[in-house]
This record gives sequence, C-alpha cells and structure tokens, in this order.
Amino acid sequence: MTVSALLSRILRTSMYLSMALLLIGTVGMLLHTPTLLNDPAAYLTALRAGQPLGFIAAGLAVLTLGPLCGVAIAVYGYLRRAEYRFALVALGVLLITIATLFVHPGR
Amino acid sequence: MTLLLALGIFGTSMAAGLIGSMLGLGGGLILVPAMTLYFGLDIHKAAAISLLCVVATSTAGSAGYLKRELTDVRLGLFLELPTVVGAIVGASCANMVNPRVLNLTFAVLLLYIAWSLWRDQGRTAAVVVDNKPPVFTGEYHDEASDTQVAYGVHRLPVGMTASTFAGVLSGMLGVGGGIIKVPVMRLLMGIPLKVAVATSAFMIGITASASVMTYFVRGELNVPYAAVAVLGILPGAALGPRLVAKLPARVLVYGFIVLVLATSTQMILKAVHR
Repeated sequence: MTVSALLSRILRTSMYLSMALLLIGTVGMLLHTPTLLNDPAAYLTALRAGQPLGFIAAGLAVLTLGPLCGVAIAVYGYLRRAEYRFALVALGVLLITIATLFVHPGR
Repeated sequence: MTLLLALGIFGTSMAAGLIGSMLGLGGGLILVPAMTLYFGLDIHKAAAISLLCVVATSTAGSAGYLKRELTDVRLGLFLELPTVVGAIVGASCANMVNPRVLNLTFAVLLLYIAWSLWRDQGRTAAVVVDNKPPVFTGEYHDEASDTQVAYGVHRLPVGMTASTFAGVLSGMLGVGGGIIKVPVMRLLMGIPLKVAVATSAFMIGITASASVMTYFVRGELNVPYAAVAVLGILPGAALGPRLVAKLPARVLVYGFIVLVLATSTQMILKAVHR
C-alpha cells in the first residue's frame, strides 16, 4: 500500500469517527442544553458519564489528532520503503509540530 | 444553543469547507467574519473555531485528494518543516511589528500574487521555472482532461524559504498559510495547480492541529459552536476534491484570484481603519 493510500485511510477513519461522536454529542446537546465546561479535564468526566459535551470533546480530539497520526504513519511508510530522506523529514515535521504545543502562543 | 443558530452555523461552515477544500485553504477567511458578525462570538473564540475548522477541512479534503493521488506528500512534508518553524517565529514576534505595516505588507503581497496568477492563467499544467533537472518528480491523472500529467519539483530551497516566510506571516497574522503556499508551489516551484491545492490542504491541517490543542487545553474553545461548525465543514470539505478533480484548472485559478483579492481588500481596510 502506498503512503498516500495509508494516509487517506487514517484521515478517513478519523473523519468518520469524529463525525459519529460529534453527531451523538450535538443531538444530545440540542435536546438538553448543557452547562459549558471551562476545565478540559472535566470533559473526560463528562464522557465517562455519557454526557453530550464529553462525546463532542472526544470527537474534536479524534479530529485534531488525525493529521499528526497521518505524519506518524508517513514516517513509518517511508521507513518501510527505505526512503530515509522523506522519513527523516516527516519525523522532523512531527517533532517540531509536537514542540509547538509547548512554545506556540496559540494564535 | 437554538436549532436555528445551529442550522446557521452548520450551513455557513459547509460553504466554508467546500470553498476551502477546493482552493487548498482552511475556510477561516469565510468563517471568522461570519462567526463574529452573525453568530455573536468574539474574535479570539472565532479564531479558535476557525483553526479547528482548518483541521476539519484539511482532514476531509486531504482524504479525498490522497485517494485520488493528487497530493504530493513528499513535497508537503518538505515545505511543512520550514512553515512550522516560521509559524513559531512569527507568533513569537507578533507584538514586535506594527500591525498596520504588517497588514499593508500582506495586502501588497497578495495583490502581487493575484497579478502573477492572472498573468499565468493560460498555463493549466506545470509551469517551467528553470532548466535544471527537478529535485524529484511526480504525476497525477487529470480527470477533467482524462490525461496523465507529469511534473517536476523545481527550486526546492526557494520554495522552502518562501514557506518559512509564509509560516512567519501565518503566525503573525493568525491566518492559515494556504493563501501563500498554493501560489508559492504554483509560481516558484512549477507545481500544477491541482497538486498545489491538494498538497496545501494536507499541510494546513498539520500546522493547525497543534494550535487547536493549545486553545483546547487553555479552555478557550467554545465546544458546542465548534461541534456544529465541524459537522458542517466535514461534508462540505469532503465534496471539494470531487469537484476539483472534474473542474478545469482555469476555473480554480479564477476562484483563487477572487479570494486573494477579497483578502487583500480586507487587509487594506483593516490597516486603514486601525
């Protein structure tokens, strides 16, 4: 399987899974107006309790992690094909992107 | 949230996702004004949702482009590396530069890009940028003309330098880099427009995902609004690649020029009224 096909599969899975979680959460939210949560950790508790905002947060997390998983898959794909130059570049992108979590002011 | 408000956000996001994925952008240029003007969100909350929508547009759009083998993943990774570094530098230096000067510089740059694309519109496939052998090559099947289009990636160092600049601007102005990345690939590196759009769609999601996490961890993301916006974006953005594959490249060039001109006007107005 080509790197493009692998990436497409990962992104498609992430898209459908997040859509399903977001749909459950949004329908629940429209039926019962939820209280907004300001603490991200509270969303985990909400998910465990089966509350709509928990499903929404899980859906958003799956969606957000999709591209990063895609880059990780690209590293693996290029390593398997012995295209070390591209694997190294993909690894660099992954590491720098993760590093931005700690230095990026989030604009 | 009322059903009417949810439907309003859903419809606007779907349009933003469709247009964004067709032009290799995130859709934030449409969503941020709509969220602030019509749905009552302040600019920071709207920017956070816009970034999340960039990830959604990129995910849905890229899945389609990658399946059609329009995305040049190798080129995307090479250009993404300097873009992320540039975005960090830009975001860190954002307060050191006069916003009026920044907006005007960006507007002038966009006008130049619009003019270059207009001048170049007759060429729908690869642009010959130099006579040296390409750094690497690629090809794709153009469904509109039912032909196999081969291209070479030229002037990679120039493209990487321009991508750093795109990253700096993206970090300073809080805009997605697609509006600069697509012309850079098209005009400086000789990449066909459809490949440039698909590769840009892949790249913008990677950059935006890290920023979204930052917003979420800080508790600055309006989760209910974000959910409805993403539910609208995903089907809209998934439709984009199907249309791009069938549309003549010239139509995409015109669409891109219109959007670049609109953004440039917005930047000039922002600089004048500040």
